[in-house]
Amino acid sequence: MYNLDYIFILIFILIGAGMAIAMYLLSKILSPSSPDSEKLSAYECGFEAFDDARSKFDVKFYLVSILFIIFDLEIAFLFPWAVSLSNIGALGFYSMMFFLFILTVGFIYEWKNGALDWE
Amino acid sequence: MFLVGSFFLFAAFLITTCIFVIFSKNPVNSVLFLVLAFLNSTFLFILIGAEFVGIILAIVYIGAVAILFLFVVMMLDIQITTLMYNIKRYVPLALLFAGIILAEIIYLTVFKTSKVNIDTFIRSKNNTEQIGDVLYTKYFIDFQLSGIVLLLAMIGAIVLTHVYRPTIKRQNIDSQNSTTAKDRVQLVKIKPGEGIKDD
Repeated sequence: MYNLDYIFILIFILIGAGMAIAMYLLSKILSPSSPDSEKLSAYECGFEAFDDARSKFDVKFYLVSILFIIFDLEIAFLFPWAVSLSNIGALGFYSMMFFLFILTVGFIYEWKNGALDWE
Repeated sequence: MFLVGSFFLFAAFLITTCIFVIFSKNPVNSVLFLVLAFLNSTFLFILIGAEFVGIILAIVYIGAVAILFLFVVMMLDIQITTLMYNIKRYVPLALLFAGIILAEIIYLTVFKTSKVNIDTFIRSKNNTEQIGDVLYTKYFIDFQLSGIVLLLAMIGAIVLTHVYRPTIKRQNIDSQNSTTAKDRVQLVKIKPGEGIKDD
């Protein structure tokens, strides 16, 4: 029951976090720092900053990532199916085939609709 | 002992990052702390032996859902000061939802969870195989319903956001692939003094 297999990952995480904290603290402590308002302000090729960095952008990026999530989930469903394919018989096999068919219908729809083209 | 210690480590991290999600002034920082909270819950899942659920949580929630949250935050186009201005308005609603969820957690953990010691479970199969054995056969309907929900999400996202613009020039892959050298280059012998007739 005890998942001691993962203790190495925990050790890696702790070492990684420790190194990150150490680097941050060392650069805070050791490096000379004399900030002023000119150094800390945004530098844009010598101009004054034109406008805020927070601006709206095209919703197409959102569409691409939503379509990515859906196929990501499809792959996530495939993993346990592949692992226990020998136990679940024909019903399990064809249930996944039907699932894939449903998503393929959506895939053909989005392809024909041009949602995958970048304009 | 080690298991209990790491449970408290990750649980404490989880609660701390959740507090930071709520109280950080910049919404982008909030989303990044949310990623950290997802990561800690992944560790908690792995700690109780549910590796598959934990890894799926990492892949789907950190890799995809948190990125979507970042997109939403970036599309909000709200200045930070205006966001913090009327935060007190939502306190009663937030307390209501927090109370409901707390009651659910107490109900599930105190009254519904069986008192069997978890250490007495002997796992003959790993977590992924246990899920796979029942998901596609015993929970056939739920599995297909999830497929239909995914299809619905796909079509809904396309219908809501995709606008087909016929005026824009796009790549025609078929005509690109089926083109030959004859279509592109024409060798013409020019007699002196006549020039080329333009087709």
